[in-house]
Amino acid sequence: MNDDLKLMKETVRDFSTKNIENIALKIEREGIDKDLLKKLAEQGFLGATAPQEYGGAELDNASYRAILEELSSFSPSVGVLVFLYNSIASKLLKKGKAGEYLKEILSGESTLGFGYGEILEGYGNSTETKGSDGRTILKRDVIFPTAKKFIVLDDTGENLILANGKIKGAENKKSLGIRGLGISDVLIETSGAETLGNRSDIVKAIEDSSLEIAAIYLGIIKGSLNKAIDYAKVRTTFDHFLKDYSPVAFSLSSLRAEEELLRSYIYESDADFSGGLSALIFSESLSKRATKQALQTHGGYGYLEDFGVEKFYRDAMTISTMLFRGRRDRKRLSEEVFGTEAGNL
Amino acid sequence: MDFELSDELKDFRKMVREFALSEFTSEVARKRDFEESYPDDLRIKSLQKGIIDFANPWKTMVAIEELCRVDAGLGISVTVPYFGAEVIMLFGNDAQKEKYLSEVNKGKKMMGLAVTEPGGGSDVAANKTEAVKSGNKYILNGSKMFITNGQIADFFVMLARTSKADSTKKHRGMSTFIVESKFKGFSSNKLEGKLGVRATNTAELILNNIEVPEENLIGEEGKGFYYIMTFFNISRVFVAAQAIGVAQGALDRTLEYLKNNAPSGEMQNEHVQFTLSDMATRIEAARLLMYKAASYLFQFKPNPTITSMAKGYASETAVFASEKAMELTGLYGLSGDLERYFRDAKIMEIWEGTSEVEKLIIARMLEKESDSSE
Ligand SMILES: Cc1cc2nc3c(=O)[nH]c(=O)nc-3n(C[C@H](O)[C@H](O)[C@H](O)COP(=O)(O)OP(=O)(O)OC[C@H]3O[C@@H](n4cnc5c(N)ncnc54)[C@H](O)[C@@H]3O)c2cc1C
Repeated sequence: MNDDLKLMKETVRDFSTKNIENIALKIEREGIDKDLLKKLAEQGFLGATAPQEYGGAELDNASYRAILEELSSFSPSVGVLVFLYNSIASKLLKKGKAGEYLKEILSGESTLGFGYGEILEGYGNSTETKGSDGRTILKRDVIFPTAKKFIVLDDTGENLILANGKIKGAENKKSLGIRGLGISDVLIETSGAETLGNRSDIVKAIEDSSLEIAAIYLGIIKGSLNKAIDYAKVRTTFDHFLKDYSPVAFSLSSLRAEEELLRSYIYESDADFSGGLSALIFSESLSKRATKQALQTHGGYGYLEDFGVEKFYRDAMTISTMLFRGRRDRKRLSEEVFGTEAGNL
Repeated sequence: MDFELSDELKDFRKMVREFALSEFTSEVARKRDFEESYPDDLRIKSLQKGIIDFANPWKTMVAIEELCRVDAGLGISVTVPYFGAEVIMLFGNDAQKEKYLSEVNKGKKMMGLAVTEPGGGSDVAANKTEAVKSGNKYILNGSKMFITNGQIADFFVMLARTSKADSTKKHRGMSTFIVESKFKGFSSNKLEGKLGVRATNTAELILNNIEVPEENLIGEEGKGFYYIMTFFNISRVFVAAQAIGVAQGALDRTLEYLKNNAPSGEMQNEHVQFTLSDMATRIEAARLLMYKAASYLFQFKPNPTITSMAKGYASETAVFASEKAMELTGLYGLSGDLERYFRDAKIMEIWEGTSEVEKLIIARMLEKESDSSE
C-alpha cells in the first residue's frame, strides 16, 4: 500500500473516531443525521469519485475503497450511504435537474433514497395505485426512506426515475441492518419525475462495483474483529484471558489473516480476472464468519447493542441480501471461469 | 428402538402447532419484537389452553419446539415463567415447593434463575455475589447480569457464595436461595437493545443487603454449584428444543416462499435444492440427538455428554438454518418474518452454556468415560 493511500486511510480513521465512533449507537437507533451528512460532505467523502463540477472530489478507486473500508469499520450504514452516492447516484444523476440534485446531495443539503428491488434485482418490487386525480403512485421498498427524493423504476418497470416520495408512516418494524439508513416502504409520486435511464443502468452500476462492495465488507470484517480482539485481551474466564484459549486465539487470528489477504487483493487487484467478483464472493462469506465469531467472543454482551458488535452481524447479512446477489454473482463468476454459460441448473 | 413419539404426544404437538399458528401472528410477533415487551396475555392463554404442562417434560419439550417454530421470542416468553423450577423440584423441601412452585404451576407467579454475573457467565464458580449468615437470615450482596424475567419474576433461584473461594476448588462454598423480588434491597434494570428474542424480558439485578430468611436456602449450604450444574443438564434439552424450533421454522418459511412467492423454477435449481437438503438433514440430526438426551434424562438417567451435544449442535443448526433461509429468500426474508429468526437464533449459542462451554463439557466427559469404558 503506498503512502498516499496510507495517509488517506489515516485521515478517514481520524475523522471516524471523532465523528462516528461516539455516536455509532445513536446512528443505529435514530439514523444518520444532517450534521453528520454535512461533515461527510465537507471531507469530500459523499462525492469521493464524483466530478468536481458536481462538488465531487474525483478521487481514484483505491482512495475511494479506503474511504469505504474505514467508514464501514465504524458504521456500515455510513459506508453504504457513501457507496450509494458514489457508485450509483453519481453515475445516474448526470444532466439537467438530476445533475443539480446530485450537487445538493453531495453537499449534504438534500438526501437521496434508493429502490431496494431495483438495486437487488433490477426491478421494482411492489404495487402501484392511482391517486384520486388519476396520478400514478408507486409503493416501493427503499433504502433511506426518510430521504427527500428517490431513484426507483417507474410503473413500466423499464425506466429509472428520480422522484419525490413520502414514507408511508412509521411501521412497527426496524430493518435487520443498515439501520442508520433504514429500509421501508415509501409512496413514490411519479408525476414530475426526472427520467434517468433504463433498468440495465442500475444493474450495470452494481455489477461494476464488486470491489467497492468488497471494501464495505472489509470494513465490517475489520470493525468486528477489532472489537473481538480487544475484548479477548481483557475478558477473563476460568482465571485466564480469552485470548489464551486456543479456540478463541486461533479463530480470531485466522480470520484476521484472511482479512489481510482480502485487503491486499482489494487494493492491488488490477490483475483481477473476474472484475472483482473473486473479492466480492470471498468477502461476503468472510464477513459472515467474522461477524459471527466477533459476536460470539463477546458472550452475552455481544447480544446487546451497547457493545456495538451485533450491528456488524446484522449488517453483514443485510448487505449480503441487498448488494450481493448470491446465486447471480456466483453464476457470473462461473461463466468467467468456464468461459461459457455455466451454473444454470 | 422406536423413533416415533407416542400418539398422545403427536396429538399434543398438533394442538400446540395450531395454537401457535393462530396466536403468534406476524403482527403480534413484530409488535413484541419492536417494542421489546413481554406478552403476558399469551402466557395466560397458553396456560388456559393446556399448552403448558410442566409436570410432563416430554410435552414441555415438544411445546417449546412447536412454539419457537412459529416465533422464538413469543415461544420462549410463554414457556420461561418456570425457568429454574427444577432446582426447587429436585433439591427444595416440601414447604418451598408448596409456597413457591405450586403458585408458578398455576400461573399465578413467575420465576427466574439468576446465576450469571457481570464479571462472568461461563465461569460460574467465579461468582462473587455473597450470602453471609446472620442469625436466622442470610444477607445477600452483589449483582446478576442478563437475567431472563428479571423485571417480571416474583422470585428467583439465585446462586451466591456462602464461604470464601478456595483457590483450587472454587466451585465449593456456593449455595442457592429463593429470593423474592419484593425483598428489601432488591432492584432491577431492564436491559434493552437485544439482537433477538426481544419479547423476553432481560434485566440486571442489584442485590443490596437483601435479607433472605434461612428457610429460603435450597437444599444444603455449599452444594449450590452442583445444583445449578444439575439444572443445566436438564434445561439444555429445552434450549435444544428452542433451537430446533427456530431451525425448523426457518426451513418451513423458506419452503413456503419457494413454493408460493419465488420466481418460478426456483425449486428446480440444484443450488437451492442442496441447501434445503442440508438444512433438513441437520435439523433431523439435531432432533434425534435431542430425543436421545431427553429419553435418558426423563428416565432419570441423565447423560451430560449427549445433552451437551444436543444443545450445542441444535444451536449451531438454528444459526445455520436461519442464515441459509436469509440467503435463499433475499428481499422476501429481509422484509418479512425470516429476519427475526436470524436474530433470534444467535442467542441459542450463548445462553445456558455457550457453544464453547458445551464442547468443554463433552471433552471432559469423553476423558472420564474413556477411563471407565469396557
Ligand atoms: C438474552 C439473554 C438472557 C439470559 N438469561 C439468563 C438467565 O436467565 N439466567 C442466567 O443466569 N444467565 C442468563 N444469561 C447469561 C448467559 O447464560 C451468559 O451470557 C453465558 O453463559 C455466557 O457468559 P458471558 O456472557 O459472561 O460470557 P463469557 O463467559 O465472558 O464468555 C465470552 C466468550 O468466551 C468464550 N469462552 C469462555 N471460556 C472459554 C474457554 N475456556 N475456552 C474457549 N472459549 C471460552 C465463551 O464461549 C464466549 O464465547 C442470559 C444471556 C442473554 C444474552
